[in-house]
Amino acid sequence: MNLPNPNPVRRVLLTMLLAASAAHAAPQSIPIPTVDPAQQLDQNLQNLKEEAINIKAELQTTEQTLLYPDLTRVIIYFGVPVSGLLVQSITVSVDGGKPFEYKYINAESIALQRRGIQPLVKLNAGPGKHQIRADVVAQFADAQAGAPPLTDHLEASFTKAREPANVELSLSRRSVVARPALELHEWVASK
Amino acid sequence: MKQLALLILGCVCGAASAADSYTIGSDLDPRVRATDYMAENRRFLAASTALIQIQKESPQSTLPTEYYQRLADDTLNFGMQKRAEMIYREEAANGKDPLVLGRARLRRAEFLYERNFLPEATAELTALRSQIPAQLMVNWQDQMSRVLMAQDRYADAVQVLTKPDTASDQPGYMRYNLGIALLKSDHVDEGINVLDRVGTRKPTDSEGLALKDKANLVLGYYWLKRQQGGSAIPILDRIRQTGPFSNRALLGLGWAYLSVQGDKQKRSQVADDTSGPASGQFSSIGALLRPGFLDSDIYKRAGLKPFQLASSDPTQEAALKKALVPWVELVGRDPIDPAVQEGLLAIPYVLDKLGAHVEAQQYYEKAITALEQTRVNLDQAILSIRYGRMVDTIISRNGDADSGWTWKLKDLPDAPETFYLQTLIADHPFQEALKSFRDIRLLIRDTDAERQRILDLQAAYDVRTKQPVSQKELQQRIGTLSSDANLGYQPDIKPQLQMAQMLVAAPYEDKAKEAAEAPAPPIKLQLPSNAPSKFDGPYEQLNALKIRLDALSPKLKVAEDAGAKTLQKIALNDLDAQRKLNEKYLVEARFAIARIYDRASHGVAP
Repeated sequence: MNLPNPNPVRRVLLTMLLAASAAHAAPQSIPIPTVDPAQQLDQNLQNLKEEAINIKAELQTTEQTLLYPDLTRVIIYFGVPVSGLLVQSITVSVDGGKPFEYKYINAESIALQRRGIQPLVKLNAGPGKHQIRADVVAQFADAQAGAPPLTDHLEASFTKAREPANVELSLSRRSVVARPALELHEWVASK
Repeated sequence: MKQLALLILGCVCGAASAADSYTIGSDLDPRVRATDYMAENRRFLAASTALIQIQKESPQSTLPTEYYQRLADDTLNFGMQKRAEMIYREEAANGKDPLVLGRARLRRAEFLYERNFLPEATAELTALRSQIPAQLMVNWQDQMSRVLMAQDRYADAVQVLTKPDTASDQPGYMRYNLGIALLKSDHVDEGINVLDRVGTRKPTDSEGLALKDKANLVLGYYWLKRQQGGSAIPILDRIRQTGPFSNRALLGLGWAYLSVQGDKQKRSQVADDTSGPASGQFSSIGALLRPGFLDSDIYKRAGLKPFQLASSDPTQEAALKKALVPWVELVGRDPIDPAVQEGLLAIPYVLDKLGAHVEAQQYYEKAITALEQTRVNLDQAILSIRYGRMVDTIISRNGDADSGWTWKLKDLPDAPETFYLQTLIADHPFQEALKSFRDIRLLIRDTDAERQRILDLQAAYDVRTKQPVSQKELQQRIGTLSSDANLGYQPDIKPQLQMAQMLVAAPYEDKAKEAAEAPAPPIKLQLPSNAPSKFDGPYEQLNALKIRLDALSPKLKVAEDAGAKTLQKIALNDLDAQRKLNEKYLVEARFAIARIYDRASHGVAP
């Protein structure tokens, strides 16, 4: 059989394809080393980030000093240390005040059951005992469609000393088989 | 450590509500745990800021190791390599857990590699080699091999990937990389074997399927380049009909049928090869040529009227028919892809060679129409990029996400200014420039918001410095402010409201009023010798921060412009290359038609 002569176009494409067959990295392929114009920008950007983040941190400290001084500062955190339990919303009120409600998007619910706690509310309250009410709605990720959500309600008290108060609400299990329930825990920084 | 902390926390939560103490910066510190949540949400700017705030509030303290690990991880994730690097170095000098240290250094090396600091990444990984724990050996081999291959050091990469032998633990893409490194370092047979094994795996996830197709495409074109079409056909047949490599596979398959020299390659037998035939779960290109398919009229499918081949060689006609099957499928696809553009030329090229000149001319004319339309679209895209629309279009889609190093553009919006940039998605310089630009935009938004916060806080401070009021008056003011806040009046209402609420909660406000109403005693103050020369209260601190923000903003603007220009340059270079290829195909098609006309006008037999 007479074979067609290799087309110049074809030769170009073949060369391009073979050149492009560089190593495969997870999840993308290895770059062909080039002079990276982004590098110079990156160096400059790191310095700008450093300055921006320092200003931001100092501003947060000043704001806290001004609006939430140690004597009256209360921060309420919320955590869900139960794998697969996705929180939908939580409502919190202190001393019968206006309730604070937070509704979660899916990514936040997933993050919250993985690790960490969410800083939920920052408020001012004088030293002494305070009442807290919380209502939570959650659902297990593998729950059947139409299954009722898991709900819980907590009424408890916490004591505000002269130091800032850190109150943690936790939707957790008391034992491996127990139903997840809201619990309250107070934290103080050691001297 | 984290598990232990959570265990302690679990016990504590279940026990009583009495307050427990935590060490500042430790795993139990609620503020530190809050940064874990932020990091899980990929809000690395917020997490880094909160961690730095903890440090600034305890300037005299040396915080626990876990605090610095988080700070390094979060700042690195926000693209602050220098700060992270200092902490990692400190950890390397003082750390005790080799696994934690190994992971930290691998992260640093990965960061360097992604930013194209290849010599630095090589040095870091080389230094780490002797200390790497066994659990991290495969990770080390993976990173080191990629860094070496990015520098064209393929023989070194082969050494790294094969010694020690961790083949059974290596994921598919590492085996693919080994295959490429072997091919490029003249260990052709071994490279073909390794790629063949990757190409006959049975992955179930989209990434694995794409890798399998990629291995088969590389292997198929390897044989095609050597005019071994017989070897290329069964390999290209394995590639899925729809996938990132399907167009190039269809193009290659057509050429392979027209150059069927060589035999189908026997699959190499390798001891640890457990893969069977290609999975039938997804339609492969080979299915296009299933038995009986060619009995239908492929010329008709190709839109060709019946014609008489000048060559009566039945073998040649059979090859043409087979080649047309993948090409007809190919030219029905999006002509944005150069493979489709070449397919548009390949069909008439072969028809012309086989004597079907009229049909070849018709196909060339169709190809020219499609290529001219592509040229118009490319010109529009170039214009859009020059006007700066491309960057906005890309960033606007998910610009609200916090940051940073781990962010990647997965796909492009369907818009004229981004339509032809698909190939850039896999390009590191483009991705890195995009990340930097995105971070600059984030910082600009953030500094604007902070400037407004400072103004609000200063307004709130003014409220505080006014005459003390009674509890009742404060409650009334809270009511008014709450009402205004709910109705959306006054942007600075929230800090004022917070301040009033705080004053109500404070236990001393009535005494303060009494004190304010009492006649002021004469002031006799003796300032200590080390007293500051001026007062530095919150208001003054806010003023100082505002000055720093005002100095930062123009620098960010300059960086934003530079970032946009870098992105534009990369995109325009890419489009320029596409434009040149398009032009080349157009010239090719026009010359081909001219040749056909020329032959006809001179009465030359085809």
